[in-house]
Amino acid sequence: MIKQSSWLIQDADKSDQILEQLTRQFLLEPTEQEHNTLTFYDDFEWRLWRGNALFACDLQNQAVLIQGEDSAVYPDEVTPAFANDFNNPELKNALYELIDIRRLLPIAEVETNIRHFALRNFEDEKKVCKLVITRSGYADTWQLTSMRGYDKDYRQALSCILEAEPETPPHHLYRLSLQSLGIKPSKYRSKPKVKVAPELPAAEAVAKMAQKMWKNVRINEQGIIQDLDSEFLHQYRVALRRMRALFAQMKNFVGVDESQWFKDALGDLARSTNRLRDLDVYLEDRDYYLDLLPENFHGGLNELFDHFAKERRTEQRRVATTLNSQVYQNKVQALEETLSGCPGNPTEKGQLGIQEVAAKRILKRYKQIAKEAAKIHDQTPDEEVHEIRLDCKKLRYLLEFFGPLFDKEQTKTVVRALKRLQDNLGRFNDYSVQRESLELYLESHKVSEEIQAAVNALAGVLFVKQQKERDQVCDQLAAFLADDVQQLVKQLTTTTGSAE
Amino acid sequence: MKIIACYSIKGGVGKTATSVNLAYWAAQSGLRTLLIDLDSQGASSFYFRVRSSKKNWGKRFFNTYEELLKQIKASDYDNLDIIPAHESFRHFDPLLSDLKKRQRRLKQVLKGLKEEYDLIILDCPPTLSYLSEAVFKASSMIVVPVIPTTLSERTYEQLLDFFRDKDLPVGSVYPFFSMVQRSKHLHKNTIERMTTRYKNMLDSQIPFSSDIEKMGEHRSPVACFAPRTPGGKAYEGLWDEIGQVIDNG
Repeated sequence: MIKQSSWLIQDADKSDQILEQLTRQFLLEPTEQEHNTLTFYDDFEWRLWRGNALFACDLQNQAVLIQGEDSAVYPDEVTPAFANDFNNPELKNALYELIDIRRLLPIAEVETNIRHFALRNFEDEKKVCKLVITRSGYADTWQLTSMRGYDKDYRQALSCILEAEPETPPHHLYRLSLQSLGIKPSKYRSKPKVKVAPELPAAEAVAKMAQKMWKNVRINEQGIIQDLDSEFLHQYRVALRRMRALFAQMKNFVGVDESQWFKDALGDLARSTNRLRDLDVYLEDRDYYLDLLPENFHGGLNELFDHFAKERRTEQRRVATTLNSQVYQNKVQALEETLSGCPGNPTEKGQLGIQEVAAKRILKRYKQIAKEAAKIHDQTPDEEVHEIRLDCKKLRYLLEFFGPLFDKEQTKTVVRALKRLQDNLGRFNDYSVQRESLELYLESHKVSEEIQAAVNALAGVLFVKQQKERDQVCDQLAAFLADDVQQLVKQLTTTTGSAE
Repeated sequence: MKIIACYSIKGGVGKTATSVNLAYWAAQSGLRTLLIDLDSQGASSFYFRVRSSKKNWGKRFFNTYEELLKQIKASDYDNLDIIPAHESFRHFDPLLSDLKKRQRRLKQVLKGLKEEYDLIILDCPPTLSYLSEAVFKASSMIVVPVIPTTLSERTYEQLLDFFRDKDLPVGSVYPFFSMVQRSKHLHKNTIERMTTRYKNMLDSQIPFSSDIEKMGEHRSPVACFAPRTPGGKAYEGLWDEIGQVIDNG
């Protein structure tokens, strides 16, 4: 029933002209005027921007969340950092959906001037329309809102404005303003896609991909040192792991010795952050663990988590010192030098085209999973299930690394099928790892009886959960090895061959 | 949705000023408020600068709530809409006398507005009639401005008699003192006497004030042009008290 229209007017003079036009038909009463400085925030990966959202905070601690064309205002907010810190539950949830546990970092400041007007009729000086003009460095946005029972006046104002042929904004004004300031998202992706020519020799293609992945290692260092959020460390480790996996899988092309050297050097960097990552994962899952146990164990569990939090502070400082150290710098330098000369001594097979090589590897890995899966039944020991989990992981890496060389839709379908199986196997593994590491903690630390009781109870719950996942493994494997997926993998790898 | 009637048998006691200012403060407090100007003289509509449609729609008033929806106009203030009075409202009584269940008719038709509004305020004409009976049936609270004089006291007693006669709930009638001049002995004495006698008497009093008289000139609630004067503040206090009564009811 209430109608609203918005326009963009880039020329300030034109804005004034339209206001002038309106005064012939209405009494134009300025009712409010606000000047404001908005500081815009996004996380390291620009998840807000990429999710078509913007978030800003002004000098009065008023927060604005813009999603698409809708904006919502939240007064009396905290200085932006993490989604969960905000007072307003709606804002908290909306942001958490977008940025999860990442920290908001300032990206730009925009000055705005907002003018509110009442359009009144001449006969009674009754307010019949509302007009808001927001000016930023980029342009004016006009927003005209009708009032109930005064549609005729709204239409009259509308046609007066439309005569000036204003544009309908393609994006929210603030996004346009930020764009005009040259603000745009960084190219950073936690799993970067590297496009290589299909006929490029395999060894060279691997080197090129590794060089790109290495950038992700370096770019996350500062965030870890400053302890901005736990994702920096996570993604740093993901980058190292992916590089190691790449060299491991392609060692026969790059050269066994060189690949081994990279694996060792990269593993060395990752190892010193193992404990910090473990603690991060525990602390992130605090609520999840609490939910698993009845309340009488919460005291002990909270005590345990307080230990973890304390240990994490020490660990974080240690890791930061390590990353700042000369020893670390030397390791980095050695890695970068070797990487720029890679492949130093490629094998003969390393001269084959990457697409051909990748297709063979993917098919081989899939067949191997099929072979091993045939041996798995409900009573198979856990170790063998873990073996197959590792094989799936290797296949996943191959599909991720070399996916861009193949048909996009086909790759996506295979990855989706694989993901379902991996989720099942992943949870199966996670529960047992969590259980073992909690039990290890008990053995290696002197802890209170409350903590002991809580950990034992938790281990019990995790065991049951692990069994439940185990029960699904056979079905999940069968689904992944079903005819349709098999066909798809074959298609994916053979259509390529004919394209060559 | 609650319905409050602003009512007095006598005219010129500050009834319209009360409706206008209560509606304003109710809306300011966040309630989605609709003021219906039932008085064909249209004084509340005038104060809010709202004109009725030219169509002679009064005869359809009690038909369905959709008829009412078409007549709603936004005021200048957030959360506050008005149904302005129309000349044809003068004929409400003969109209009602021909309708079956006339007592319940208004209540029935207003029910349809409960999705859109939290509060309806009825500004009623100063008569005892079929319309006022329908208003009393529809409202959970009847607010009655009383000038503290002997004559007004008698008129108020007449209203209560009417309620008893018609078997209406006397407990929903809440008087308050209007146009009070503390310097007058008569006012002072009447206030003391009536306060002891009527337990529903509200504590807030509206002073006789030139600011309130100026509403016609400014065509807006007192708080919008004289917020810090005694007259400007009095209605805010009255609304607070009434707001509490309807919350507890």
